[in-house]
Parts: sequence; structure tokens; C-alpha cells
Amino acid sequence: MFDFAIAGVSAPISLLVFVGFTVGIVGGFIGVGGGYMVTPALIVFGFPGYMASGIDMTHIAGKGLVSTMRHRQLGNIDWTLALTMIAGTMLGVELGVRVLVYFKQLGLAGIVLLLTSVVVMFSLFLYTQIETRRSHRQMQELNKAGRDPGRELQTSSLPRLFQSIPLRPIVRCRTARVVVSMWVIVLVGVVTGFLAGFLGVGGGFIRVPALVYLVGASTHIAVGTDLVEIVFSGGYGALRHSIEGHVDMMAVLFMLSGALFGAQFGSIATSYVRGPAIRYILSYSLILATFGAVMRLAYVLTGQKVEWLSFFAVMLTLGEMTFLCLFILSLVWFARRHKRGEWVPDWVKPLVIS
Amino acid sequence: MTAGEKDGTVASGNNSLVKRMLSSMWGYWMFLLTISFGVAAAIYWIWLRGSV
Repeated sequence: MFDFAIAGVSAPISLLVFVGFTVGIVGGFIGVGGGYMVTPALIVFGFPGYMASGIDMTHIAGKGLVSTMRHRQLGNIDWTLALTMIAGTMLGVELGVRVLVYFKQLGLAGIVLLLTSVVVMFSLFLYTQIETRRSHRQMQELNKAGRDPGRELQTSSLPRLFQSIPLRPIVRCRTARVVVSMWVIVLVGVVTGFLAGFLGVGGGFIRVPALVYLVGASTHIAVGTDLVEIVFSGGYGALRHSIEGHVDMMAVLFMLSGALFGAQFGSIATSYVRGPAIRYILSYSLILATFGAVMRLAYVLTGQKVEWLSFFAVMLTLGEMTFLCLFILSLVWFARRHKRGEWVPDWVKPLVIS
Repeated sequence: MTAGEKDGTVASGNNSLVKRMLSSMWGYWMFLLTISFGVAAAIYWIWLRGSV
């Protein structure tokens, strides 16, 4: 146990390092900050809510920077796409925060927030899961026919629709190999930023599917590009929280000591898998986070009296981090086995790069 | 161990259950979920019992 003087709590160092490491792996792999996992975990460890948000945001900024540098080396960042989207994201976040303040004044913020996050996360899970399963099946067929499915395959027709919008100026994103109206990118930034600002999260779990399914970027590029956004939004959030005195730097340092290794591993792990594998992990993370939010919603709606709901929310938060981390680690293990010509399950073959 | 067992085309006794579980994505999902919630329960038992 370590006494965190600024936060005024005692918590085990090993747990903070564990959370930093696991969320680092997941964040580097699917391009999210992981606030929806870290903040509830820190609250469970005894940190006050505002302190949990501040610590989370500050560690996300540091971890995001490391992941971004790794993804840059892997060629997964489209700077044109990232910089064009930032303007829309900032506007969206500001709008989202204002709507949140309005609901706070009505005294409905807690329930509306949880309900919105349940609906958004569950809808994204459904779409991502259905589309990814379809892509996975097509890749399996190509694999059986002895043809290389390539690094990416996605079956949604939405990118074609959005790329055909003829509003000038048209932007050519060379790394992402996408030609699309600038207004589409800005609009995606505004909408995802709005949801992020309203829900009080970094928004990676909304932006990555939006970049894949609306803009038409490949999953690897969406992950790398989104991490650039996270460095900016996380950096700004860290600064704001630090000014308000919501950050315990010792807790941040312990989390970062795990996260820096995890984030590098997660980022490098993307080079072992094809696009649908990343989207699978993203959709699993969404459904588990949805269950967590449902538990918390039920806990709030029952007047915070049903203790087992709180207990299950704790288990779900810790279990989710471990599950996603194990899935990513095992995909890398399978990819290495497949490369060496050893046995791997049939469903894994189209998901990993051999 | 036979050549078939070694390269995985034929499963030996203990390996067969694991391989059967691994060969379906949902089976693997459940396998990992069980381990993960076991780890979560252990963490709860060791560090968080009484404080949550």
C-alpha cells in the first residue's frame, strides 16, 4: 500500500502498474485512451471521482504520446486526416460540454450520461461486430481458396457513400489512401467530439469506427490517426485538470510505468494482425464497457443500495481489462506460431499476418 | 508423440480438449473470459476485499 498524499488515499502500487500495463496494451492496439476502463477502476481503488478523471487524463496524454510515436514508426498515421479532424473535434467537444452543463442544470446529467453511453456503445458494438464477422468470413473464404486476403478487408458500403459527397475542398489523404471532402472529415470530428465532450471521455472508441466506416481509412491507419487526436485532447485535459489540482502525480507515475511498456507492446502488436482482428477487440471492448455502464446505471436507478450491482461492476471493470489484454497477447502468440508453420485454429488464420 | 501430434493435425489426449476449445472463436472467448474473471476475483480477494 502507498499513501497518495494529494489524493488522500492509500492504494496498492502493483494494482496501479497492472491497470496501466493492461490498458496500455489495449489502448495501443485499438487506438483508445481507455478512460472508460481506467476511471471506474481508480474509483474502485478509492480515488475520488474528480481525482480519478484527472489522473486518468494525465496518464492518457503520456501513454498516447508513446503509442503515437510507435504507430508513426509503423506508418499508421495520416497527418492530413488527423490535423483536419482536430478542428472539428475541438468544436464538437465544446458543444458536447455545453449540452452536458444544460443537463446538469436540469439535474439529469448522471442518468442521461449513462443512458447515452449505453446506447452509443451498444450500437457501435452491434455494427462493428456484424461487419467484422462478415469481413472475417470473406477472409476465411479467400484463405481457403489459397488467395492472400491482404492486410485489410471491410465490407461496409458507408465509406463509398461519404467519399462520393462532392463538397469542395476535396482532401487527398495519401497514407490512408482516401480522397474525401474536407467537410466529411470535419463533420466526423464534430460528431465524435460532441459525443466525447458530452460523455466526458477521450472518444477513441467512437472515432476509430467513424474513421473506418465513414471516412474509409484502414483500421491500422484509424488507430494511429486517432492516437494523434488523443495526444492533443489528453494533453489539454491533463493541463486543465492539473490547474484545478485534480492530479496526483505519484499515481500517474506508477500507472505510466506500466502503461509505457503496455502501450509499446499494444502498438507493435498491430503489425502482427489484419484489420478485422483490431475491430474484433474494439467491439469486445465496447460490449464489456456497455455491460459495465448498465451495471452502474442499475446501481444509480436503485438508489445506490443494491451492493451486488456495485460488486459486479468492479469485477467487470477488472475482468474486461484482463480479457482484452489476454486476447491481444494470444493473437500475437498465434501469429508467431502461424509464421513458424505450427498449428493455429482455423478462425485465427485470416486474422493474423503470416 | 507422433508426427501428427507434433504439428497439431492430430490431437493427443490432454491436448484435444484445449484444441477443441480453441478451434471455435466463441469457445476461445468463453475460455479467456473465465480466466479473466478468475484474475479479477483474485485481485478483488487479495487487494480490494472490505474496501469496496
